Amino acid sequence: MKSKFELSDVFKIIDSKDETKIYFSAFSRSVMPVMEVFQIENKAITQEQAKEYILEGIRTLTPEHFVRTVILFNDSTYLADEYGCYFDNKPWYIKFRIDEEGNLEEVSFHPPLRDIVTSAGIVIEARRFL
Amino acid sequence: MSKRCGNCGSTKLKKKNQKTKIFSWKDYPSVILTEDFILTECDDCRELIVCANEMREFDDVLMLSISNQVKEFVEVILKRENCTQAEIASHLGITEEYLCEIKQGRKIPKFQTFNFLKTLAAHHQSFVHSAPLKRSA
Repeated sequence: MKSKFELSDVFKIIDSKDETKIYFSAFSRSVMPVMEVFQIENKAITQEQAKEYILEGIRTLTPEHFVRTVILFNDSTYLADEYGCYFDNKPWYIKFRIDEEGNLEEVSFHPPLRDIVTSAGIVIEARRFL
Repeated sequence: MSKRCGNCGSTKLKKKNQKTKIFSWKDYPSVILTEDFILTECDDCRELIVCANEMREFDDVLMLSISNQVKEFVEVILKRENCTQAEIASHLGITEEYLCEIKQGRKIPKFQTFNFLKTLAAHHQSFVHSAPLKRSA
């Protein structure tokens, strides 16, 4: 199974350091959960640090972490790629897309609500404390 | 295609002032934004759509909001209790220098300190009961 968006294109956007080309389209599904995970571990972080963490996490993805491409909001033209990985010894569910203008839309970055099996068969276990 | 809300898919996204809204930040479960700060918000579900380059400013505004409240709490206590900053610091178990730093916004206190200060500002009785014990000679 192949992802809709090439990871190399995603990495290019992140590596460009052009922050106008990256946005979090659901703050409560990405930045906030990351801050909550760190708060539970008594290592409270800022929003800027959460953003950096998310981008760093995405940067570690490989095709083995790909789960599937999904249609969002019942719009067959609105596709996003789902990934699951362990980053920083923590399990994460990740969803993003590259929009029509070439921006990286980070939709989700949070602990998995249920176990995820990647296309390479890697099992990412759910973390249910949130 | 225009941007969508990542939570509900709505395209009704508007720039809105987040002043008076509550956000979590570091170990603070809820910080009331006391400053103007414009972010894109979903008109349908209130989700925030935040660009990566807005994140640092968001942090700065939240820190400023905490500092504003610290300053306000200290001023309320000074006026009501007719005491000195050194006395407030001793109630909080911190040094006067540190109190000055957090009052001037040079440092952000831990939530525990902030919350204690808030309690002292809200109730005269809290101030009375939290008075440090005087050591006998």
